[in-house]
Amino acid sequence: MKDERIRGHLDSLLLSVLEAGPAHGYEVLTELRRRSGGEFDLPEGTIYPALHRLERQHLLASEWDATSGRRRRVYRLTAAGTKQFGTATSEWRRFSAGIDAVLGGA
Amino acid sequence: MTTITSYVAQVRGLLHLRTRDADRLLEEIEAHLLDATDAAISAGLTREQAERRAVSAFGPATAIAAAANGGPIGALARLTGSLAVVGALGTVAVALGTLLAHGLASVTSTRWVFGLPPGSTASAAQVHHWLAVQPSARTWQGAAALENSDDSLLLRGGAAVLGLVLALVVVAVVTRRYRTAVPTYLLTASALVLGLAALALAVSAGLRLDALDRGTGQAFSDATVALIAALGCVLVRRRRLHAVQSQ
Repeated sequence: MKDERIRGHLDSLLLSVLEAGPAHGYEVLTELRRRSGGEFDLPEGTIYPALHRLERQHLLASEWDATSGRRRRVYRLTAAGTKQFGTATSEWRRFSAGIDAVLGGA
Repeated sequence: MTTITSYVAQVRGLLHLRTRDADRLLEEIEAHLLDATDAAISAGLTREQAERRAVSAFGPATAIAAAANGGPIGALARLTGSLAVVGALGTVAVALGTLLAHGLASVTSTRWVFGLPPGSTASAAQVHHWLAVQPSARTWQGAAALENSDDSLLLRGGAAVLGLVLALVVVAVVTRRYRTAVPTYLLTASALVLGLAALALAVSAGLRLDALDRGTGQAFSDATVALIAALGCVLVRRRRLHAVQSQ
């Protein structure tokens, strides 16, 4: 899928992956790729500025973790992040249902 | 230098973030690339092939750094924030210069610190005004020095406090979203401007050419503070460059 279209929804996609539980950047990306069946194949580095932005907006929190030997920054959803994810999901479902209805009727 | 360390160094050179923010991002990038390399080696690639694939999948260093820097809006916000930091330091320097001048006046004389240069003339209206607002003075030159002393506290001190508050508000607003360090070129420019200002003030005080009629001691105080601030900028700049070279 085109990078630009994914970038428009990157924040929601990241929140969705982290809604399942805390994860570091590489895990987030691997999970994103797995859930999309390889369809979302954006430059991997682009997720870090997005994760940092979500953290500045207090939708995510993070801390260093070195339990597996290598130090990694692990991200988790905050209460505000969970609420934002719910809102984004509802909006997307309404939007995609509208698109489906139009395309299905063509 | 491995493919990964070379890539991380390339991103570092393109970032305009505070050192600790840049360090955090670069550590995350390195851990990500090492994880991706391990996965590719498990899939049968050699280490060199795996590192190249990991770096390629991560994206161009320029694009990653640009996204982390916040794009053109981020660059503008960072410049604004940096100028506000420099402005805040300038207002502190003005306040310190004012306090130093008053300290100097207490150990020398108000006339030397705040008085008009010898041979100065004043209009009758000015003389009348100074003597009226400074009734304790015995001469109009003494009254002018006392009035300059009061004005320096009220006007320079007040302007410094207001300027500092304004600059800190701008810094707080900008850094909420775009955390940054004052760029090296701005430190260089600040050191140059402050150094030249210190020289001009010292020469002006030494030759008693002060065009602002602020007094010899006040000019020496300002020159001293400007020189200290210039040296501070030079030291911060040297530390910054040393930190970058030792990476």
